[in-house]
Amino acid sequence: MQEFEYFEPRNIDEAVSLLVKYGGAARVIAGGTDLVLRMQMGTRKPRYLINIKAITGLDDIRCNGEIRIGATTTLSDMATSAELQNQCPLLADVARQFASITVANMATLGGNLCNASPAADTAAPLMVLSARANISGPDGNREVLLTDFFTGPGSTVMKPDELLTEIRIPVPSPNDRWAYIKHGIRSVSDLAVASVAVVASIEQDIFTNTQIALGAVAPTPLKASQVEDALKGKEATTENIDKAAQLIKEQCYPISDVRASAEYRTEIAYVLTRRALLSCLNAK
Amino acid sequence: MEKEVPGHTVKDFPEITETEVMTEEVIEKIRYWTEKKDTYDVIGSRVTRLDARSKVMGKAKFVDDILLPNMLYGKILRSPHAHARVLSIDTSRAERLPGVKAVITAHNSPEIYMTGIDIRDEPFLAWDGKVRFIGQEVAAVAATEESVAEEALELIRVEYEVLPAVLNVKDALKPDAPQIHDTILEIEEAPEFYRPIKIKNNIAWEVAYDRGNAEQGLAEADVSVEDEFNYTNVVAAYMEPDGCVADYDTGTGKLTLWVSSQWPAIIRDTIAKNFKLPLHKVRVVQEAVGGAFGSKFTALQFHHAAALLSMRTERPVKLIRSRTEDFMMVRSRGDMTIHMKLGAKKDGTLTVEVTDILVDNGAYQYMMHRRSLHMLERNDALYRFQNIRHHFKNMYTNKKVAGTYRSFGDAQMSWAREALMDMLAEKLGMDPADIRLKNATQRGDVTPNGWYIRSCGFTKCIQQATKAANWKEKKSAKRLKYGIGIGCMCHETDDRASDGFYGTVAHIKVLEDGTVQLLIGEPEYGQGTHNAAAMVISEELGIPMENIEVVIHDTDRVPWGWGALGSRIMAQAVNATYLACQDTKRQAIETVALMLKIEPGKLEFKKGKVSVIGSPDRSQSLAQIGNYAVHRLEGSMIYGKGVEERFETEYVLKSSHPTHYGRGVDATYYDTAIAEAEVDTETGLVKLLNVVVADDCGKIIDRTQLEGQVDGATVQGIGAGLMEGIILDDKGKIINANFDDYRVPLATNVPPIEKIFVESIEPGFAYGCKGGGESAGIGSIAPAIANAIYDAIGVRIKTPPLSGEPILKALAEAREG
Repeated sequence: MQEFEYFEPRNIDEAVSLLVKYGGAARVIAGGTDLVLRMQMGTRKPRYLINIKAITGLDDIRCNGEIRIGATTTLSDMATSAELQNQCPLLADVARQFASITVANMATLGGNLCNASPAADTAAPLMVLSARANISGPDGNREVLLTDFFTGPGSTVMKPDELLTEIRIPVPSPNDRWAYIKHGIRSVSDLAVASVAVVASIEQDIFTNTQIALGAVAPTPLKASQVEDALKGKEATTENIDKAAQLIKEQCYPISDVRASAEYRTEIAYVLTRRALLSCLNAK
Repeated sequence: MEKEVPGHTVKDFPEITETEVMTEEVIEKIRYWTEKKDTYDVIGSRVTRLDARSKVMGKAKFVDDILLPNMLYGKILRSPHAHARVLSIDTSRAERLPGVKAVITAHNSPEIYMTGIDIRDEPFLAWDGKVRFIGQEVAAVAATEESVAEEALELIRVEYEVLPAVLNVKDALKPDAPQIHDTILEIEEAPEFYRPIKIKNNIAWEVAYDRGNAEQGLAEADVSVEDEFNYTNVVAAYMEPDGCVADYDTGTGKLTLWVSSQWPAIIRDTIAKNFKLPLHKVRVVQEAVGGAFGSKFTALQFHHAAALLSMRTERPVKLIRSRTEDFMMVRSRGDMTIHMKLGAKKDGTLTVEVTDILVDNGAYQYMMHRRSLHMLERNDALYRFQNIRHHFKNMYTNKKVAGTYRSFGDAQMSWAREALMDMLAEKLGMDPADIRLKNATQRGDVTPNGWYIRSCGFTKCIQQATKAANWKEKKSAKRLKYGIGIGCMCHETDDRASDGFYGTVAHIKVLEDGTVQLLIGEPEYGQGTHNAAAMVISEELGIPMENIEVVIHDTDRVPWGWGALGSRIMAQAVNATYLACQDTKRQAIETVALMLKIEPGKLEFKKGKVSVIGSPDRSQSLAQIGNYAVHRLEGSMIYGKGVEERFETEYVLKSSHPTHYGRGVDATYYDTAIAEAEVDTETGLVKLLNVVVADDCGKIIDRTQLEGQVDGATVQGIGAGLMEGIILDDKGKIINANFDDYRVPLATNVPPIEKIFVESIEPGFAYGCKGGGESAGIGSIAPAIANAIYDAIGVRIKTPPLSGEPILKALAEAREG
């Protein structure tokens, strides 16, 4: 591993000023479960490491009118948070399926999002929850919808001198139905071959509002807008679900890699979308 | 003299002169151990492992825990090309980097030129000017810090001429295929018959032979099945990546190596030979090992590189592989293409077996020709095959070197054979378990290879496993997407293929306070051999386990042992230790005879004491005896010796026969696995619902360790069947050299494994024990799962791993007809 200079800023301003100073030569580190591996492999060689774990107040989960999760909150804390379980069980479920316990104890929500893997577990669920990313930079704060956050594999709308500080999520309606399915050969602790998250409002057997997003089936986490549109106003039946879910095969454009072929991912995208919607249909 | 391969077609076999398998001596030994079977205090019980506490507390010393004063860190520069000529190497910039103490290449390392065993075709640091797989060693660096050594590697300039690479055996055979080797440069200890020097068509080795009458067997078959199976390369995925620390003392000329190995003795011998050092100047030490599973077998290039770097720098050098390097370099199971045909009569009796096998050696031969022969011998010892035709080619390719990962070929053979047994059963309308029962090898059989079967619980394994799994009922239940399957395997305890001493020596020291130290020639690398040996002492000398220490493996201290191969060391260590205990008891009695001035014949050894027969109150404890021997008999410590060797050798013919016909084995052991699986036909995921394994490992010595062995082997078998496999890109690079993408099973993927033990008494070893390390799941669970999947979805997939995409593909192909 190449040598680097290490910083532990005490607050967001300090962190941002370090980022302003070192820019692209610096990497922010929190859990390190992804970055350290890349540094060991030599695919990332930051000259400056800025550890934001010492910044207080960045690892809280607060549910007060809206859900606010700090960027350095670990996936374990999310999985075990009673408030999250209560107010947003979808996200708690995602955190539980995230990875092995040892990894989840270290990995952070901010890290999972900023690495911008198309397969990032938390991305698709946050997209369907209409979450917003709070980003601090030299010119102050800005908010970006998660659906606009990712720009490609490993890249986001964030500039080199910006820091993700918090995720804000409107509290889902208790009447909303939700489903999350992560597909991997081992079922748990795997990087997803594909994943899907759905939040659906079904009123009087009609799909009134359906939010669907998938992981690992496109260069970025993908909002399944064609499937969503096809369901809008439609009767909630297995036939309609199957017909709409088929559309994901047109919309997704996965790659073939070590984990699966593009063809398999396309097929799985359809199966998962259909299953997730059926699960919403059958809920309650 | 040059001899060309191919062309070893063998027709003539020596007659086995002795035909009686169950001799009086054999029957008497079986009777003796059978009578004693239920009388033990310690043997067969559960004890806490002697090393449990140090491992749980994190105190056990692994190689990476060794820290020596002035120690340097070694790193190896590896070939990025699967096949290339090395045109030039410039190390000058690396040598100038502050902290770099030595850089070695072929140009400045005249000491070593070849490594490898049997066939030494592995040029040290590519001195022959060629690299043959991605990862092959090209140069090595020693520096004050690991990061400096890594930086130095980046400063070494190597100019390659990239050659076309051969990445599968069928391509390798093509007449216009690139030639990976022109000649094999050195063959050692290979019988005269095996002197092929010139390499053609990338065939490293080729043997063809018939046993019995294959033509007649084919003619007698009422039905036959035939297919081709591909086995996918898997690695052992042990916890501790391989590595060593080398320390050469220039003053004494002594080289010490700390290793992570299952065979320290061969490392000592190989290093001594290659460096032309006398044996007393090479010391190999091993403390804790984080798993080996057959893959940490002998002295590899990195051991030599570390030793050479230490000699150059006169400082200790630690060289540990990263996980990625370990994936590239570990001697794995290798790919194999097996074409097999089975024929049977209407009643299910097998009449013939014909194989045509392409073994993918990878870039070097290592000892894969041995594996080819051994796996066929074991294959032929499972069922009562009489007429056989085998033909195999060991092929060179530009891939990582195949090796000795747990089962030494049996997993591959079982993958093909057990599928065909099911196909045969289906064609005959027979139950798959019944056709196996019909053909199961029995005690008293002589296998086609000339093995005498003197203990065999195979039939019981099938019967008890099917009963526990509720086989008949579940097999006939037609549940959608649900299936049940069976698989079986035979392994051997011990290979005594050569004419040297292939046994084990145990020495027991009784100290002055009555505690005992065992020095034994076999290493402990996690599997529990030392614990089993300590249990023997506890049983025989009647002392508690905590009074026994097994001295760590250090070739300067322990006597000779042949190392961990062929599931031999537990049984042989038990045998040697048992004999050493008898010697210890004899010496204790003689000592007490002097103490009490009484005839030795009037004394007996019982429960840690020597007493006068008929007067149990007149007794001396082991502490009293040990103290007396040292302090009153002028230092004549009680020092029991046991030398383990075959109890009879008459039928062992010369192993120099080209097909190893008559190669001696001490025992064969058998297993049966049954798997129940559910298949998600939309995603291809396979869920295991239930696993039963029945093993005939002989008399159980250490029940807890044996269960651990069976659980572990089954999990590795499940991995190979469902999810593991080395994946290469089109340039020959491993693209899943990490535990994210090389998936080993997790606890959630493995249902509780129901374990059944059939304890057939083996006359060759104390207590009637035999080996167990390569039993159960390692080879039989994967075909059992494949058979269960076929049962569930009616599609047979011939290449593992099966779960996920392969199942969807196979279903789609089946739909398209």
